[in-house]
Amino acid sequence: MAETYRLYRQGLFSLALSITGCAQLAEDAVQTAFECLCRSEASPNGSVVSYVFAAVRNAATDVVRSNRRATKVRESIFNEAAHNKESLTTPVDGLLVRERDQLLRVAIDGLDDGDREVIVMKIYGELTFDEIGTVLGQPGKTVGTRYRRALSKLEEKLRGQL
Amino acid sequence: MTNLNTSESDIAPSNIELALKQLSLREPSKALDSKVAACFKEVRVEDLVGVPTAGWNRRSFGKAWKLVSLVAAVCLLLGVVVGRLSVPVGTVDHVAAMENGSASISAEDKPSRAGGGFGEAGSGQNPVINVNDIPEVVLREHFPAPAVAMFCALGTGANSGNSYDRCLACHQGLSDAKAEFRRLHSSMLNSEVCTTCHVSARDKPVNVFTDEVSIRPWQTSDSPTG
Repeated sequence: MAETYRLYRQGLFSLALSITGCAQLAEDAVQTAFECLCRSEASPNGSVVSYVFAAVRNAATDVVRSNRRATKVRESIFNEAAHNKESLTTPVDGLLVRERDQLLRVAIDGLDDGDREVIVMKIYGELTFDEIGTVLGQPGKTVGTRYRRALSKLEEKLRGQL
Repeated sequence: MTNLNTSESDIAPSNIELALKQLSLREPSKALDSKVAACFKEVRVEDLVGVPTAGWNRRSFGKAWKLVSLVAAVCLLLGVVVGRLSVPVGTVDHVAAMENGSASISAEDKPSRAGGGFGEAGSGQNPVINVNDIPEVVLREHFPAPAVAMFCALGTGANSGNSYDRCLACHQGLSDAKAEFRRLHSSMLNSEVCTTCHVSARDKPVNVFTDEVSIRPWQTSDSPTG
């Protein structure tokens, strides 16, 4: 369990943040999930990774329900201040990359909750479709279809802008 | 448009996927790492102590068991005290107590006293005397009346059953016999009064079971009680 957290801490936190819309609540959700996992005597039937992600997702959902009024302004899962400086060769490239990232963030944050969760778990959690399906309680193929449909939505939103 | 029916391994990462992967994500704080690590440490400690649920059950069971034991002990003590104070008359325990001399009223004496016996007539208290335990000298010193009067006054005897019935065995000539006899003897608890009717000499021992006892003829108006 500790090893799972060490390997997937970024994906788990991003998933919780995409659900709660608040960094502090996301950390609370992750902490609550691991407290429950540590105290629980039940062992996962399948993938431990899916089990942990499902626990974090449920905890984040509970946090949102109990703090519905507190989360008025959603925080992005992306770090707006950071830039991938390695890819920046010229100031113009920097401006283009910064503009592109901003467009992507807005597009991702504009997705509905289900699609955004799938995107986060797939890209930033690096889970397989079957593992995501286990988390969401859906078949892996269904998750794959949702993922690709979400990408299509993003492409449509960003068409002509990137 | 992307083919939605392709499998996970079939498709190459699209441009948008590559772009999304290049985005910088907000990272969890070190405090979260510490908190999660603390969760694992707690588990290790609890594993050594025992399962938390089992511990809670053990503690609650202990409290419940103490409470039940306390209530049971209190009930036991109450039962002993109440049982000791309320032994019904006529039970085995009561008969045993009579044999030990700790009680003086027999079950057979109860009805006669209730019907106007010695205890009801003026004294207001039950006699606690066992005649067999008192030496004859002491009896004569404290009870100068004839033995028959004394026995009648005490209402007890060595082998007495119903003392009234035994007295009536001798006093057959009385007109109103039993009722009047009871009334008079109930109100004459003073042994001096007994000599009014009973003429036996004080210094003459009388065996109430064998000797004939002469009784003065008396009138109702001449009776000591008026």
